[in-house]
Amino acid sequence: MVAQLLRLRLSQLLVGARQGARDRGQMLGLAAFVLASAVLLLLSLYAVPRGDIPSVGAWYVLIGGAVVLGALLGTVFLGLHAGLDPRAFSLIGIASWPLSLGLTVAGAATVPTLAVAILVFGMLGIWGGSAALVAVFAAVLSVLTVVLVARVGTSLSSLLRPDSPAIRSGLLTAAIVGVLAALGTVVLLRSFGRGVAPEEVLEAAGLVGWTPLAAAWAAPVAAADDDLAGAWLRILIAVVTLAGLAWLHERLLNRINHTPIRRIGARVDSVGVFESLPASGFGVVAGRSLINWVRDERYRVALLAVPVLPLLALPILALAGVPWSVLVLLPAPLMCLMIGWLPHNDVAHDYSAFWVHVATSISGRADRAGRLVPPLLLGVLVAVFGSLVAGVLSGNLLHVFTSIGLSLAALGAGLGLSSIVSVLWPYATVHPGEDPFHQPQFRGRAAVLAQAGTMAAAVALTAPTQVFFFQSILTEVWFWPLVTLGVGALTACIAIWAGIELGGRHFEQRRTEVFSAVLRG
Amino acid sequence: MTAFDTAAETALAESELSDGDQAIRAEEVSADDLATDLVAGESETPAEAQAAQDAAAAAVEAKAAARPGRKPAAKRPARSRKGRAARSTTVRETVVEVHGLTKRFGDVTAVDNIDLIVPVGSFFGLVGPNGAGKTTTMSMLTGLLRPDEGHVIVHEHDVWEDADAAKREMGILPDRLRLFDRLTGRQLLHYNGVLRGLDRSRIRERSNELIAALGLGEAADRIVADYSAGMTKKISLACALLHAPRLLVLDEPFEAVDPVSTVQLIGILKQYVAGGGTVILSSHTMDLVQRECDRVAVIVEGKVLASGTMDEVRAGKTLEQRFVELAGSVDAAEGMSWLHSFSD
Repeated sequence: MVAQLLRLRLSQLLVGARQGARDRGQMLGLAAFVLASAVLLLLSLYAVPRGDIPSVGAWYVLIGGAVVLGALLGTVFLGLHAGLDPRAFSLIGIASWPLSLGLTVAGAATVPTLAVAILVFGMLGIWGGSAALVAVFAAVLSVLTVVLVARVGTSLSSLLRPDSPAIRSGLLTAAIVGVLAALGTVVLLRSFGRGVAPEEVLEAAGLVGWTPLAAAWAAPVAAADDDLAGAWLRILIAVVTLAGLAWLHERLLNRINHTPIRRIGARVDSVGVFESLPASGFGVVAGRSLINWVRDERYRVALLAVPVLPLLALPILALAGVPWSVLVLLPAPLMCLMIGWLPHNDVAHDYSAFWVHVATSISGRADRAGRLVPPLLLGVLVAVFGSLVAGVLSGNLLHVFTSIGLSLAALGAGLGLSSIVSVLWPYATVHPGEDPFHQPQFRGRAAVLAQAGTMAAAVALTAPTQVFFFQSILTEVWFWPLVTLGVGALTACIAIWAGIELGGRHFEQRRTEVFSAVLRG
Repeated sequence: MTAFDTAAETALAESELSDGDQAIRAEEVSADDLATDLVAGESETPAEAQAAQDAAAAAVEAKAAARPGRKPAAKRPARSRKGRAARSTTVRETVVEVHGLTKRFGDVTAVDNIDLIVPVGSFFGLVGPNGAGKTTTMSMLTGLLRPDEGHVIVHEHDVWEDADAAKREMGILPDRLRLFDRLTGRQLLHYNGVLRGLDRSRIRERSNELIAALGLGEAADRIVADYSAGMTKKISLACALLHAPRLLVLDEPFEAVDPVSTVQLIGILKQYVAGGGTVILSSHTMDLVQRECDRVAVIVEGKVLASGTMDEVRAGKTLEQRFVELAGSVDAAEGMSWLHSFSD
């Protein structure tokens, strides 16, 4: 059984390679990228001055915790998995223990597992001879834990959400691994430039090292620090964790094999979210948009782009020497800018289902406004909570208002422009129900214009708010943050109102033409 | 009882019903024709015509009343009675007039100067080979595609000048256009109902009846993306019927629908027509059109080659024979002599 499943997994890997030069190149490229990220991270750990075991160890433990947590969250919530959906085997009638073992071994044959193995075994050189036995043992446990956690996550995802197809994308995995590894590398290199790791990192690592998440990763650190008893204790925790995971995995498979798919349907005679929304054009479009943002993979994948902008921009700005007090205020506005930009091609996402809006003469304003409800809700949440965190971190609570102000301006400008652009220049996108990562080959000028133009114009519209934003940070006078908030909120209101008006008017005058443009793609 | 049993039983009931309906409709049509003749001054027995007309109307009403589960007919006795009363005194009114409709895509003229007249209460079939322009015509008729020339009048409203009013009169089932398929069937009905201006309780009431009538049952609370092709057609038809339009425009309503469901759908459509509604449907199943429709237009290469009552167009032949005649059959097998000598 184990051998058969492993063979199945290997042929899955080979299928990608057989699909033609373009796909093969892409696949090998992604694999190389993921592995290179791991090597980069490993090298930056090696860049520490020898002998500072506590610092290296602390970072290593935190990385381990992040990897295990990432494997769990990635599989449960994003549905990233190795292509072995446990439900696929439920009709064959394999006992759950052999199946569990087989899926675990087969699931180990993935590029991310290899990347983890490179990192973990690569570190053996640092821990030193006295810790060798513990280190090897811990390394094996570390890799096994990651593999099993990923399998448990996959099973959980399959059990909890049989409806939503898993996202099987090397591209996404590579992007996540790459961004995390790049971040880790940048942080590590900067930190080592200054010598020992900060006190908070050491403390956090000490704590995480005792949890099931990173006990296996902490064991060699303890051993290298001549704390053999502590090392074996952590090994024990890791072994118990592994046993627990194996048991859980078997139980989950058993459960999956014996539960038919039950769809989480609405109550009988219920229209779900529409029940609590007004029975108007605006209400139903808003309800349908909310459902799309939750149920449609295309929207879920688009949401992944939201944190990317700050993740990319912040390390670069940090390296460029932008002070901490400014840096912490940027993530919330940047994320709001992305959220406001997301619906700029919303009509094309409906594709031909948009005919209902053409055939029923729904008002343009209702159509425009309804579609903005989900991003508006999300954006306001990010603006408020992101800014609260930013204010606390910046050490000046007044900057909560500074950050909210710019966030609202960015969100409103983005949403207002999106309202106009999505009826003015709809461009080809992934059709409903298709793989969200397979973008159409040719999108033409409209796509570039719509994407880049919306983003640039949104940034431009926040210019007045930006002036007060920097005024607040530079002068530290108490009223500037409040002015920023006021200007930002006003910008948002005007932009959204104008977007709905102008977009709505265009929609009503040209709805047939908009529909034809969407169909042409 | 299994779902299959239920479906089969419904179908059985429907097929009995549709036989009855057909008889009634035939009666009604003859009464109508008689009434038309009357106005033209060719008949000499007005009282007789009126009596026949009334009898037909009464029979239809009785039928509708006897089927409380069937919304379209049962819900509109007032209008249909009015429509019929009007018809008995004037020439049968038209619900759709198409004049000089033309659509070009680049060099290709998809629809070429089409004229169509669809009288109220007709079951109108639009037939033509693949790519003849049926879907293009229907898209322009329903306001989904702007014609290059010509205009369409639906119940006295120009589809392009007075779009909102015209669109209110129509229920549409387009071919190969998607639905908002992340919604459940019931949610989709709510969505369409609200956009058609119905209130919450009326939508719920009508949805329940439509779901029962179309045999969607427990599927109503599943998302439409998971429906089979036939179920998708059914939920689309339910959406089209929901606001009780005067005119139904159905593009290939029976494609990919199983025979049982087809019988069921036809039953519902006939009842709708009996209640004063008008149906325009396109199909390339000639048998079905000949059997069910009372009027037909043949479109080939964007032109209407024949149009009128079924009997006029058929001219004593089957619709299929007539259609092949009009479409100009090329003996496709001719010349492919290799097809007769099988390779070893």
